[in-house]
Amino acid sequence: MAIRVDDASDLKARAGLYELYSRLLLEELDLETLQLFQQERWKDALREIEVHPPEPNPVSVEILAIDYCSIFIGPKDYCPPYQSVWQSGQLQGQVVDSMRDFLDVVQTVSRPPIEDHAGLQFEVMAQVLQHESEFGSQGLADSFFRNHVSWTEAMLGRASAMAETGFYQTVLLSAARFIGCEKQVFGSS
Amino acid sequence: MSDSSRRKFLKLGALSLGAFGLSGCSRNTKPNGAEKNGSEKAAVQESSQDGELPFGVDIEKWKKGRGKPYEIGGQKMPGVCELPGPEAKRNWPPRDKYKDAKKVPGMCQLCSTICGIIGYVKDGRVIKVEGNPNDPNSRGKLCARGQASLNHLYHPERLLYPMKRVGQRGEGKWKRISWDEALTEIAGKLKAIRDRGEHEEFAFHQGRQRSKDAIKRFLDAFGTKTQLSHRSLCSGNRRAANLAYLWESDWDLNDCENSKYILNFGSNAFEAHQGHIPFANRIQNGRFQNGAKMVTFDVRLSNTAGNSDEWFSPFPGTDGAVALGMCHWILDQEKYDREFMETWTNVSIEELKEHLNPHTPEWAEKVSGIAAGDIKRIALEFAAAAPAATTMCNRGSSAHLNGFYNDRAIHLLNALVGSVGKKGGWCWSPWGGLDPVVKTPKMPSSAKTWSVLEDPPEYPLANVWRRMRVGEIIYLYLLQGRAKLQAYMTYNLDSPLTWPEESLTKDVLTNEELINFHVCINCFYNETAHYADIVLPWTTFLERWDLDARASYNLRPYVGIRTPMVEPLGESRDIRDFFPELARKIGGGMEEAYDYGSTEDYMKYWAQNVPENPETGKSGLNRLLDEGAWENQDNQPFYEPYNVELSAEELEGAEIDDQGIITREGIGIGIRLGDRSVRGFKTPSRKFEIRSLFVNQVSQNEDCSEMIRKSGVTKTKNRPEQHKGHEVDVDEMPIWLQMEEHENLADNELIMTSFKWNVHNHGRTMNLKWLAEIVHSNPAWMNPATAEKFGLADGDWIELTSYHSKMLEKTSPNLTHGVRDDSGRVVVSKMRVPIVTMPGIHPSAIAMSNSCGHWQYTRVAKAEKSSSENGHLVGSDGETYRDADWERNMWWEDLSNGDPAKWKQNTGNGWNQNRLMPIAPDPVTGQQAFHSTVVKIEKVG
Amino acid sequence: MCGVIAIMSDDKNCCSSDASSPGSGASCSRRPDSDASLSGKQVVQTSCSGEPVNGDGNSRRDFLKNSSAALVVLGAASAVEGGQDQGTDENSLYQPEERWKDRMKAPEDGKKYGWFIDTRRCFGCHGCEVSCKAENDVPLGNYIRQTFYKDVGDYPKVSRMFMPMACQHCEDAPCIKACPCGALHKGSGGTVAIDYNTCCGHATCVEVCPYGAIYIDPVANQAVKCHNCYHRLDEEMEPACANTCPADAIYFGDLNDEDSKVSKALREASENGLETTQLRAEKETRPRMWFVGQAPVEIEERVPKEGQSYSPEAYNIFNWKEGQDV
Repeated sequence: MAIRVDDASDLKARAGLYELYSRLLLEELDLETLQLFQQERWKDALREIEVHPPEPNPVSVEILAIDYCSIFIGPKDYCPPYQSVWQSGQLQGQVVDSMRDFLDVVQTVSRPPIEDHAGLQFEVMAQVLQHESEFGSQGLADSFFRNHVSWTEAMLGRASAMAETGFYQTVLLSAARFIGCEKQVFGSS
Repeated sequence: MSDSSRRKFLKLGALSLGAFGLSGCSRNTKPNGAEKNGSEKAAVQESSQDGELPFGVDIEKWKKGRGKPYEIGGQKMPGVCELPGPEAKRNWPPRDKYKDAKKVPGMCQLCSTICGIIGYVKDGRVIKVEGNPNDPNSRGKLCARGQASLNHLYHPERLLYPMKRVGQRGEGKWKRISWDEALTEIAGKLKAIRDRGEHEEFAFHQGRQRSKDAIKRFLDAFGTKTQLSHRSLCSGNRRAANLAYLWESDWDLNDCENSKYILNFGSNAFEAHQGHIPFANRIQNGRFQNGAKMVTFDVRLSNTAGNSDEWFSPFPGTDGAVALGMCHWILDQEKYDREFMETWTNVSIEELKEHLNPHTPEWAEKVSGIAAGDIKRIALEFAAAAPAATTMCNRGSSAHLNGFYNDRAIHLLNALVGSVGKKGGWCWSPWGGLDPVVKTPKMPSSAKTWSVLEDPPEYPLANVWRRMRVGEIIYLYLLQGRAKLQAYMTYNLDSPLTWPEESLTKDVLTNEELINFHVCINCFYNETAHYADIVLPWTTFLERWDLDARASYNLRPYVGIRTPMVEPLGESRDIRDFFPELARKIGGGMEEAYDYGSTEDYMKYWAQNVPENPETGKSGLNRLLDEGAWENQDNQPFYEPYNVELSAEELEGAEIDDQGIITREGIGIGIRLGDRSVRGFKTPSRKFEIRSLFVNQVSQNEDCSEMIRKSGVTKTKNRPEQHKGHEVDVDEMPIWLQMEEHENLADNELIMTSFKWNVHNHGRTMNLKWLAEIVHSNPAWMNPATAEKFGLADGDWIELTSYHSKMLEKTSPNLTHGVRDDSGRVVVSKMRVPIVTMPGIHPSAIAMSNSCGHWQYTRVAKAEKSSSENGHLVGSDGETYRDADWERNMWWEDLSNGDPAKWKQNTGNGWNQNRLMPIAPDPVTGQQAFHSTVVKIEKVG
Repeated sequence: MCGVIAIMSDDKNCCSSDASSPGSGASCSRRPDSDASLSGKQVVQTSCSGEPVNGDGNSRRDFLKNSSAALVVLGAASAVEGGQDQGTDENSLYQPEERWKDRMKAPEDGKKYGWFIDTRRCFGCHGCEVSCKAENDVPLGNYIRQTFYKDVGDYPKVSRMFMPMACQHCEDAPCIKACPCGALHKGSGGTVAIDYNTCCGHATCVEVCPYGAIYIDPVANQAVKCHNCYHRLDEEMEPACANTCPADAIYFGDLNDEDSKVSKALREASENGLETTQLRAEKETRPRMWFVGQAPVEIEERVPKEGQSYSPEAYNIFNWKEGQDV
């Protein structure tokens, strides 16, 4: 069952969530971001989805970087955040062709070296939703979500289970739940 | 999701929008991610201002192309049955797969044979790799390994980013770092070593490398000669045996395509061998187009042995005795080539008869178990087919403690029948690599340091003609404090798996006192990377530049090219790409070795002498990029080079000594034969040296400068001081040496032999799923009669106890370490494995392959579907995880949990045979004796 | 002995009993294994190829199965022995003739594709199989083609046989007759191919293929088999297995073109007095693959039969030796 979403502010907020998760998937956290999360409104908003950011200090940054590495970078038994790996068991599957077609339509700021990186896909989604919030839907968000975002729910679930820090456990779980929610929005399973 | 939790999400989302500089509204702020290139960024901003591309979305473009590329599912077709399901193949095989695909040449590097390849590239991806028919050596053929290139390039667990160790070394904890951070840290360490003048304490350790120039440039610019290799684990004895006869080449190239008789001692060219596919193809042509017969002597029935016309299984390490028995018989029956022997060798028939007098076929039968009648018959068949008759040999005969002599004895057969250098005979070429017509930009001058790791004094023939090095001793020598390493850079190396004494290798690699700083350059996280401090993601051979070639079976040189077929994946980089940057960071003049411009400039310069193809008008690099390889077909095959007459120009100012040796300025250039002045062999006697005074004198640390001058091979080392105190008595003549440990084997002892599969390449291919599917495990081969004796049947488990060499205990006591058990032998290690009874193995031998038993190197190599630490089952969720292969279909996962009773045949990732191998260098050359080890067998359970 | 006769003879003149009598109509369910494979010995050849020079006895081949006893010679003899009682179970899976008659006809483009396998030259490198996997993205555990191994003899006289196997592209293809949804058909040159807009995975073709050359894709739930790499032929490329073969053991091409690789190789074999055989010719499906060498004699029993597909067990080293046939 699809949830009705026609409120432009909803679209913007969803775009923001994609932006947040994009940032978390693409890179390790830096001190600056951890400090941002300590701001009351951020802390609040995060707490509501049961995410508790650690103290902003270099030790936290290091611990999170190690956890990020073991989840998404490797070197072994990790959870490759690439759609091709998830769907065809190798890097650079045919899904990359499709992803490139979308990147031709949506120009992103991030340029991770691998184009079907979930973080990049989230950024595309963020941009598209913002666009739709102002100009209405042309089916782009729907198409992109089905083709390149819905797969991430399972990946994020696994990534969350692999995480050793409470932060990544909860925040990745929240991302998985968010994508689950988005699936309802787009009426896809 | 409930409405309230949805609202919570939206609240966070509202905060996040624009907070990270990723989405459209903050486009004008500094991007948090990687920088776009300037022009694109400008374009985005400009159109943003126009309002044409708000949020970076070109909705008009989307509307135009919409539905076309993204449509999933297909049209419905009428039919008598239910329609194909949602995952139906539809367009399969894709009719247009190769339409508009670009062909890019390259060279395989999944083994050392480096066959020419073509990558079919479409939409920036390599969709298929095939052989390149223009490659003169490999002729467009490609084996299973090369065909699995796609697994290598697009492996889901490839290293994509530099990483730095954060826990204890070997603990497996890492964090990602940038290339700049990585290179800065490495440069800091290297600069300090350089500043202290301790250059030799930076070692570069290669597994297999095909970028010789790039490595040499870096190490020479740095100033270290401590370049470690695996040559002694591979081919040291065969090379030395060749050099003793020829001096100018360490590599016999058997001209099998033109042969009538191929006599193979322990070479498995159909599955392994440095010449592998090019060689195997020519052998089959020789047999099935030229009518050659092929006879193989090998302890184990390899595919080469199994496909030969006859197979004989000698007792391990007795190949040389069989060969001497044949030589004896050829002499006895007067079937030798008198003219060749008298003209071109440095012993007389009488001398040789006397030398071989004890080595009768009957003696050889006693030693080897091969019937004297067969030895005689084959000897005469071989002689009758000459000169189109050749021996071939490789690690089966040479990776023994008597391997140098085995190969000396085998090669002698060719001299006796006069097939040396003849068409269809036993040939060689002086071109072990690229056609010398191509030249790199100027190289820095050679480093002058010395390290015991690279040049141990104990092995007289290891580094005398050329640097073969003795790789297997390095970890032991480090442990013994004979050297230390402040920085250790490993490259395409998997030493814990491929070096003998696995546990010692691991101990030393873990020890930060012995190896201060370890940088690992590799495509995958392997067992070596596990013990590194920094791991650098290397490009695959489909993503980097090289000019490359190997000793060609066409007996003339060629030039091949490796070129990036696609952009390097992730942040992987080749040494050609980052060595210049590293050198600049180290500074101190190192950067001067890199003033040639870009890598492409370098390649252009290097390839510039490749002449124009009149048909295409292309030359140099462009020609190579077009064709993939170039061979100068005006060069005649290197037949009978010794018979080539010297020109008047060459003879100008030459002198002739009383032995007829022609010298110019004291340097040998040829020999006088009757009224002819010919080139001869490039040995001190200018003849094929059946008697090598040189090997004996070098081993006794005597001055050999005169001999070296006469050979003309002046880069040969004369340095008696270097080996002082390490005299070894190397026999001048081809002999056979009885290994002490093989005498009087106890009833429960066998000799372990190892082998390579046709789908694997030591420690480098078990991560490739299409290969691992075919071979992933390695139960020990045992003769059915032997198994019966031990009360064993197929699939039963045994405990193997391996022993150090008795012979080396005496000759090289520094190598032996461990505890002596009641057998009187010193134990190396123990391991439990299942056995498979095979009719094709000597009853006194037990065979286990290498390449198996990884404990790192991706889940495919480990045959593990899921991460054991987290207990999370990857691929178990069939609905969301659609990959049909990678893990879900890995049907060979071992579910026994280490319980032999539950182990199922053809499952698991096998066992590392090198766990059992002692460090065992042949005292003559340092060749690791992989096939001489005595093991004790005990039934488990 | 009849050598290569079967190859060059005109199809129409070849004896062919009517094995294609209509069955009991469409049958869409998978059937339990039939015992059709019990119908008689395989066709094999006898002569040893490429006697070595100087080979006075003790050729590795002298301890191999003396094939003459077990033999049915190609052509005439097999027609007698095969035929009648052969494959009644398959017949019951066949569709009525009118349903497949058109699909059994190749387009009339003058091409006739065929294969020649020189098993003497094969050294079992698996290059063809991996190339096929790469070309067609065949999932692990499934195979369009496989190379079979067998160690023959007892120590010290042992030999290893190799035989690459795939679909034989039968002229009278049982899979086409049995296909309930009309997906299996003949393409250009007689290539037996599958239409993936139609195939819905009944697997009846697997039940009737006398060579076990078809598998059901686990994800698509559709039949998969060798298609002569028709997409490569379109681009004038050889099938992926043929051009990579390091041993030059695999030859493919147009039998109607005397300059094609396969025609040349067959002609050369014939000129050299080599006997050309076919596998399980008594099944009378008129396969388009010919072999020389002794491997077919020894390995025939290892090739999957009706109701089977290639399996990982082919790689199990415990099965290499004699007496290990599944």
